[in-house]
Amino acid sequence: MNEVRKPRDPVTGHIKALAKGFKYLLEPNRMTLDYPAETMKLPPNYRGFFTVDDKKCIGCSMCEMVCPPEAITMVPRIIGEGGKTLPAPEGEKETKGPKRTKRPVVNWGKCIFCYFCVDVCPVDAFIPTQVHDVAFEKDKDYRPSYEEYLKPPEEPYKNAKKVVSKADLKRGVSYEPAP
Amino acid sequence: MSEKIFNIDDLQNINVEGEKYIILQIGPSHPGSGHMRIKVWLDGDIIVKVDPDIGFVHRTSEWLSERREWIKAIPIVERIMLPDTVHANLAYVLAVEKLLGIEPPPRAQYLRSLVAEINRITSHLYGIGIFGIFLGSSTVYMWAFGDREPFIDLMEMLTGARITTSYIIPGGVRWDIPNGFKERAETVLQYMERRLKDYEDIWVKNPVVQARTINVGVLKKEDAISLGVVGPNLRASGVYYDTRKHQPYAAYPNLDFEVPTMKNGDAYDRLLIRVEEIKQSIRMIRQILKDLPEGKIIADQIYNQLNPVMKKNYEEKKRVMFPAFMIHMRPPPGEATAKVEAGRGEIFFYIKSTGDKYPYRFRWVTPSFRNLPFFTHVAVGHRLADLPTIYGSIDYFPPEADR
Amino acid sequence: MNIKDELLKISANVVIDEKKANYKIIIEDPVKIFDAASSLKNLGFDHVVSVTGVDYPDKVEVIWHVSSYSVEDLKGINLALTLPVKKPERVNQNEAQGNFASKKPPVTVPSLVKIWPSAIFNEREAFEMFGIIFEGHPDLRYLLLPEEFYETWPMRKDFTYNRVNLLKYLRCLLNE
Repeated sequence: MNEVRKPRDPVTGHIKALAKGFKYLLEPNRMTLDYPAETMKLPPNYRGFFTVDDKKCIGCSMCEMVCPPEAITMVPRIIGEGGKTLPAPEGEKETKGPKRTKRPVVNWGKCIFCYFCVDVCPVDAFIPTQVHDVAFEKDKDYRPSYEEYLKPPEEPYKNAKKVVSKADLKRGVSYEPAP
Repeated sequence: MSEKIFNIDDLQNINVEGEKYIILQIGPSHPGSGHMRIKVWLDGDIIVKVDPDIGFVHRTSEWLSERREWIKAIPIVERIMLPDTVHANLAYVLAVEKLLGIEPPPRAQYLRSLVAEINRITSHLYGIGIFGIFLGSSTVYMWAFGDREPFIDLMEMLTGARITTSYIIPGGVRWDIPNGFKERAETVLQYMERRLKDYEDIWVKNPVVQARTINVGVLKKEDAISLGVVGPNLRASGVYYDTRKHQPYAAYPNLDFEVPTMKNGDAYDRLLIRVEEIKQSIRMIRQILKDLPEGKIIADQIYNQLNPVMKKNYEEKKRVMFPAFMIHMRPPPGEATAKVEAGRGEIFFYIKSTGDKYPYRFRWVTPSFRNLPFFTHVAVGHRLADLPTIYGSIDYFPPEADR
Repeated sequence: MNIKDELLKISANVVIDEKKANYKIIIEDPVKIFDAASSLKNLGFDHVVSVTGVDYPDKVEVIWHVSSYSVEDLKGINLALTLPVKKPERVNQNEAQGNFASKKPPVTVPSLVKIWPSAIFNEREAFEMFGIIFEGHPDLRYLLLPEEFYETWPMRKDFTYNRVNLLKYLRCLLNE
């Protein structure tokens, strides 16, 4: 390894460093995303905000049990009010009459997006999205009610240009318009 | 310069009372010290004694993990070692797997090594970048942090998150390689190889860097051994020790790689060794992508517990969901130790189970914590202006040391 | 070199799990720990990976995890040098009340820093977390914990984080 270590002659060393710097001054290696004007389309397994499918969920509380930061609370919910029945999940018998059950609500102030809850769900009831940049105006907004939680998360900058990142031999990361 | 060998009695014998010495408190509010305080006794501008005062970002990870289900420790250990998340995750899972008696399938082993090596490159680039800014070169800081980005993108593509991946679970990994990953990885590796040459010109072999780092902060081989230094810092002092070789885990027994060592043990060697390790990691990633075996990515014991919905998801999306076993995991009584070579050095886990819902004893030691003696020994005898060089060269990460 | 025979010379109580590369050597008598550590160092175990305690209702087990950088055969071994110490009885119940967490008497063991300098910060951490006083340690101070945790030994199983007591404790501090 000693040949790597050998001190470089100061004159050539400085000239080489300056030449490299000058080269990158002329051809900068920028990989920045012009964020609000352009937004990224993220890979399909990216872990963003998620919501729950009310019809699929069976209220088993597994997601509440596995949640590492204890961000999920189960709220009481009555389905099939007034004798009406909600359509049952595929392959299950329809139940008649009102039924007490529970549904998960996520506190976004606590959630760490590990997706343990999404993966532990025995009926795969969570609907993952790739939205990751939601801003909350008030402290209360972190803790949605169940009805608010059911709405799919709103993506900011809807009119922005969608790009995907791509490995680039010259610049490391480059962006091209999303398909 | 500290020519003499470290002697533990010196700690008592150094008398720093009296008006002769100036006490300088560096930190803890980050004027180049991270989230820690370095208390320095100065004679003129020669350092006489250093007392690292850590604990400002102590997050009680051991206490928290002993009061939670086994699976919930994965995000906790990751958040302690932010630049080395995969390694922390892997070390914990290895210890749990030893208790459970589960052996992951070969493909999962290779995927673990793959994501660990990608993480090692990002960790070393982080270290090089921080060293750059400590020496006053914002160029290499920006370059290194920019060049982490292609690798973090690879991690994002594979695991679904940029840094806190939570990718490795007992029994295997959570996602298989997506389409187009291999081609993208090859492009990134070629890009990095080209960039390493640029780094050499502008930073590694720059006469200014050489003048500031050669023979600064020399840690002799005997001292490195007796002080229990880990990782690249240990190998820069000439000790041939790498957990990947000596206590192999994941796919490392099957991979062909070298463990670079240096002789002098100064700040410059500690910089060079990180560059050499990046080259070895690139070599390993190529091998892994070439030899990646076919098969399941989760052990049969876990796969058999998946319900039909989860099995369908596994076949279609190559995504492993968690059976209820993951929540109600109760490893049989016993003890397990695990060691993993992270970017900064060796992570050690000691876990004791009594067959309960929670771990009975959860002990882990992080590389930065074991590199702490650097401050007490190596900096003594240098000028104060060399302290940032020494601090930057050991790639110290305070939140990791405090746990 | 047969590592098992060498370890049996030091202590009769050796537990070996070849599959997990776990080696455990248990010393019952605190007086003998220094000699045992010296013999281990002569064998080639040259650094300490971790020093920790494990808390049981009646005893605290102090564990030095040691390993080797210099001997090729020993590089793959994690050896746990274990010393169980009986907890002393709690002396004065009344005095303990009113503090943030009840005071528990610490245990005392010999420090091995003279043999393994790498244990220096590890032993400081074990001291503040478990209340293990390492006799002969040159610099036994608190390392990670802030002041209000002094002498509470938070990693022991009977530690309770009581908010009312914490407020009382902080009020005491203010009055002082």
